[in-house]
Amino acid sequence: MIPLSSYVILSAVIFFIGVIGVVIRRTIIVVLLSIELMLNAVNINFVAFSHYLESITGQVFVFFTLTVAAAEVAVGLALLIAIYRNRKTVNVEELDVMKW
Amino acid sequence: MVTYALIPLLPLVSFIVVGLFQKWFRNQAHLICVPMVFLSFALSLTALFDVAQGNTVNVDFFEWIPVGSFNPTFGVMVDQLTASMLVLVTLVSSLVHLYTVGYMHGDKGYDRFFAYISLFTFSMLVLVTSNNFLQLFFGWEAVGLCSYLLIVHWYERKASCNASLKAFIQNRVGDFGFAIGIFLIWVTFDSVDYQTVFAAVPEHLDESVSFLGWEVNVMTMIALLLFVGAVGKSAQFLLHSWLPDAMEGPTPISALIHAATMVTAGIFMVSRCHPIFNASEVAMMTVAIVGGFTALFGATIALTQNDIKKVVAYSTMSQLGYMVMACGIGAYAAGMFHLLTHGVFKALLFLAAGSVIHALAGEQDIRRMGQAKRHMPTTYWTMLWGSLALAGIFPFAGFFSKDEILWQAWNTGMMGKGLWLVGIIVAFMTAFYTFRVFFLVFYGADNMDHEVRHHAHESPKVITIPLVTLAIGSLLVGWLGQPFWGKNPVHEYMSPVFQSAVSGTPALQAHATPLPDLVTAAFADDDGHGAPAAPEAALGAEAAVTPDAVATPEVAMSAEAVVTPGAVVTPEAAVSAEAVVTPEAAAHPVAAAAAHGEEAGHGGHDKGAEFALMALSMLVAVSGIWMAHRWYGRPSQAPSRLAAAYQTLYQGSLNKWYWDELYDAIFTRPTLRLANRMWRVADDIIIDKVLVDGVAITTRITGEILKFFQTGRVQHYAMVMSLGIFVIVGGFFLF
Repeated sequence: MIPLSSYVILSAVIFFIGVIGVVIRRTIIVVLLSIELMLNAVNINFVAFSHYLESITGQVFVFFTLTVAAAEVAVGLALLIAIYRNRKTVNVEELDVMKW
Repeated sequence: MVTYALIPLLPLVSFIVVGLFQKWFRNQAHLICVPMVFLSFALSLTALFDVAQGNTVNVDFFEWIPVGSFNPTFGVMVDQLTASMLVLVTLVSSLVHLYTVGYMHGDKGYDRFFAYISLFTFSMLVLVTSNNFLQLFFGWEAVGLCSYLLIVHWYERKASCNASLKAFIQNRVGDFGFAIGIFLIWVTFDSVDYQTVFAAVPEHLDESVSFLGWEVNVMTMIALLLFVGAVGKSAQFLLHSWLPDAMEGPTPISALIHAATMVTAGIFMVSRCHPIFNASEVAMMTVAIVGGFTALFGATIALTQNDIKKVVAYSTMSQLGYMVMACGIGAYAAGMFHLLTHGVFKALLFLAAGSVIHALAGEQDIRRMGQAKRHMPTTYWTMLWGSLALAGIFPFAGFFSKDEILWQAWNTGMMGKGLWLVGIIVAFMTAFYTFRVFFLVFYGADNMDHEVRHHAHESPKVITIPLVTLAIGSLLVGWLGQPFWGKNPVHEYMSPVFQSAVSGTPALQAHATPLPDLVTAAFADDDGHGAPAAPEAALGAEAAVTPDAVATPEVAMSAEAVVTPGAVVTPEAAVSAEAVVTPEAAAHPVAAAAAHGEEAGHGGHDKGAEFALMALSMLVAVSGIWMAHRWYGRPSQAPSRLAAAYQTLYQGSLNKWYWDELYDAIFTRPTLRLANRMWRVADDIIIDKVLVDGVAITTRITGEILKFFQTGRVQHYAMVMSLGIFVIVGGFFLF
């Protein structure tokens, strides 16, 4: 029996990897991947607590998250392609027109 | 009851209809307003007859502004006092409405004017039908507003704007005192309802209230504060100078608002609140003195004015002083009677003056009139009747009411004698200046411009019909208070109001001690002295009157002094007047005092003395008219010679004793300077520069600095967000 704390720690580690990926990576694709990581870290938490609390709600929620994530990826990739077509780059640091 | 509510509501309806749909009326507003106000008049007459049979009404219609324990209602009270005011207000208002149709014909503000006089009529009717102080205050303020709106009717004229502002502001000063008086009533009595308050007066006689560090008897304080309101509204001395200036407004307004109705609100209010006034000697004395002084003050100015409306305006002020004086000596019924008769004949005089002005193409300077008799016979006759009534010639209205006041004054102790003297001097001046105007306009030298004379014409029917009606009124209305047979009908009619259970005894009549003692006693009192309404005080009144009346030489002196103003120019008239009257007048006060004992109020008339005084005042009035005729009936050098001889007096009177200049120096100019300073310093520098611009500059500088944090890179934002979460969550765990 693997204790709940292991899942939580795992989830936290993955989440931090995701955060750091979002903050420091230059390529939009990797940033999007990192966001997926964060979402999945949350999913792990949901499932773990669902099992621990013997409640199905958490697992149902995970399905919603997966669905939304899929939609988000579709939109995100579409935006990415649109940006690439316009700017010929996928480097986040160059996409800084939204400022003073 | 419903019909009583309709009396004020009908004019309100015509105001709303005409006011909202002004554009649609195209100078036909009278089609609504005139019938409405006439209907209101008819209802008032039924109210008068109902009340005369003793059916007074006092109903609350709805709770008005319930706030905690403060629960004022909106209601109607119709008693003898209210009914007489209702009839006066609606009568004059109806006739003025009719007159306006002719007078304002072709004016571009015709419909607006009708809307506002309807609003005014509504407000005035609310004022008089109120059954509590708050509703009274509502009407009080609303008539002030209407007065302002109507004075400034010709708003393109600078003079109208100034006059309206002056009227409004001076009235605010009075209303401020009035409002505080009502607050104090609420604090003292826990109610603003008339009946509750008046019934509770005896319980609060000895209470005192701290005012600027002095302990003042609460009744005195309330009465004086309410009187401040009356001073403002009724143009008494110190807050008087707005009334003559208000003549800048159209003449129908001068007749309706500034002669017959609104300005009498002060007298009405004092009469209505007589249980409070009766409870305070100091207040009554103040009222009497202010009234007497105003009567004299107004009359002296009216002597030399050259604008026909200004003369009538100052005479209004003077006559209002008479009424206030009557209230001050406790002769409320006499004051109200004079109010009613004055309302009729002064409205007549104003409307007649308006007719003259109308006929002479707007000319108001009496030096540029003359011989108008042949152009306008109807106006001539009606104005003659009005002038006779104002001068107090038998059998016109003014005679009865003025002599009633003088007689009551004569019967009110030492101070009353003094006021009587003032009154009779004023009566002489009144007769003189009234007929000065009359002779200058209708007789005298023909000083009209050629062009004006050519176009001079009698006014149309809508103007002359109100004139004739009022002229007949000013002949007849006085007989309501005839003193010849039986009891005086006006006193009989008013007695349920002024001698009711809550009335108390007028302080001066009950307590007629010699003047200096009264002053010191009144100011020294803290304990118990403030309750003078004891019945045995009537005996004191007798005792106080008698020694004075026995002192025959003194009375003779006063009778002599009365005619003295005339003596300056017509010694022979003065001598004869003195010779005829002195023995009689001197003989009777003793009898008067003896008969006076059993009732301090209006009971003990001694007909002989009364008729003697009447004869005296008639004589005074006739000599005033005779003098006016000598000087102004035909071209004469006497007036200008006299003016040259007494240059100071003449200039003083002509310039209204420089009161406007004084107020200008004390209040107006410092205020303007202060306002200018506030504009330049407070507004321009502090508010505009420091506050408004300062906020803008600070914001911009802050923004200039902070904008560098907005890099446009999503990752920076994400970084700050995550760091923030760490800090918050970390903080949560640490502490």
